[in-house]
Amino acid sequence: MQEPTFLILTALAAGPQHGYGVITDVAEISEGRVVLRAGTLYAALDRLRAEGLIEADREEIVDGRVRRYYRLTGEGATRLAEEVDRITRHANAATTRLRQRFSTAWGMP
Amino acid sequence: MTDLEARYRRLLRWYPQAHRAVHEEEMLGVLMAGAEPGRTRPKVAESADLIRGAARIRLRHAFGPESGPSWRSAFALAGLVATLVLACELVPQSLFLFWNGYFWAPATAFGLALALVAVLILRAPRWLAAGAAWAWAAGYLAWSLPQVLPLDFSDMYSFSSSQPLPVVLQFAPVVLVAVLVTLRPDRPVVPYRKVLGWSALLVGAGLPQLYQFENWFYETIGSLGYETEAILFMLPLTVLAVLAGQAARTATGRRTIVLAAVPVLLMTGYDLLVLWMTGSWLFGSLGLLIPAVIMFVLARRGKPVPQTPVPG
Repeated sequence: MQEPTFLILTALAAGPQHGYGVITDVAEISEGRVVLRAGTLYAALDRLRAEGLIEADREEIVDGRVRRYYRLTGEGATRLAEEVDRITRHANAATTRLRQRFSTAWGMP
Repeated sequence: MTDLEARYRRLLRWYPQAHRAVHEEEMLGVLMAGAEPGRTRPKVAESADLIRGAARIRLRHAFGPESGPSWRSAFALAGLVATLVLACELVPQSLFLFWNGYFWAPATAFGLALALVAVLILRAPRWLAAGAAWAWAAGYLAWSLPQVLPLDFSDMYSFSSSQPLPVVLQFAPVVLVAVLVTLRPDRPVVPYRKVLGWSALLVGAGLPQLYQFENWFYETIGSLGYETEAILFMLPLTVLAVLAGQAARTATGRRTIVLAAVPVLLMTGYDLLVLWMTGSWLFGSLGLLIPAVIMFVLARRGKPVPQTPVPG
């Protein structure tokens, strides 16, 4: 799973959000490192919707324009959880090996 | 509407019509919310991102998993469309021979045999239709090839290094038609009346080509050069352009066009290639191509038709 996809699903994990809400949330989650633009966001939303990972939640009219909210589906939540597991396992493995490396470097048993 | 909004709307035209119908206002809201006050033009990176997003969506819709049924229907149709166009191309020649007393000339027999192949594509199992298409292609090649041998086109074309090229271009569609019929996954679902109507129109458009065999035509218009003679090919090309334009309004139709384009263009656009190869591109090739493109664009106008298995 690519990072923008992971972050979009993460943004929707807490509850339904509209497009601009997802952009600001992703920026916040990534501490400003990932800034999604509208083109990237809607291409990703289109794909995630086709894959059944997200769906439209509701619509409201703001300043005469449709604002559509998206939510994570059950399948989307499962995929996100699997991805979190995978990343956590990799992060744990990396942490363990780095500890070993430091221990060896400092001559600790 | 502000300048910025108008510019964003122009960029959103890159997106598929169906996507715009659902998401244009929503995307515009997101874009406007993200723009700093006083901005009148989208940033370059923003424009590039929108165009890239549109390309991704178009590619995914064209080749993604959900396009599978449309491709399947298109594969079912493409062989039939190419076979019918090839048959319609042969009819004027057969009619000419018929009128001149050659009732069972090989060209007539090949025309009728190809019509039979079209019926088999519609009614018979795939192996039978494919077998008939390959048998027809082999027979046609065996009959026509000796007529154009030896491969000496030095008096017709301005190049000499690739003399077999015109022969390859002439016979490639015959083989490609058989390939398309072989790849047919299902029997095509088509309204027979429409198929007959378009076929009759294409045959009718090809009839003026009979004039090229008349003495008066050969001595007057023909003597002005192949470029002028090519006007006879304008009608069939225009009919096909209208058919393609109408077909392009459906997902299956667009895919059928992609699949059948090479053999059909080689059949009906062969004269365009000859004009191009002889250097008559300005009045000849463009003279044929421009009306066809205009007719295609006009026929494509109107509401896009959602999923229908039949082009046109």
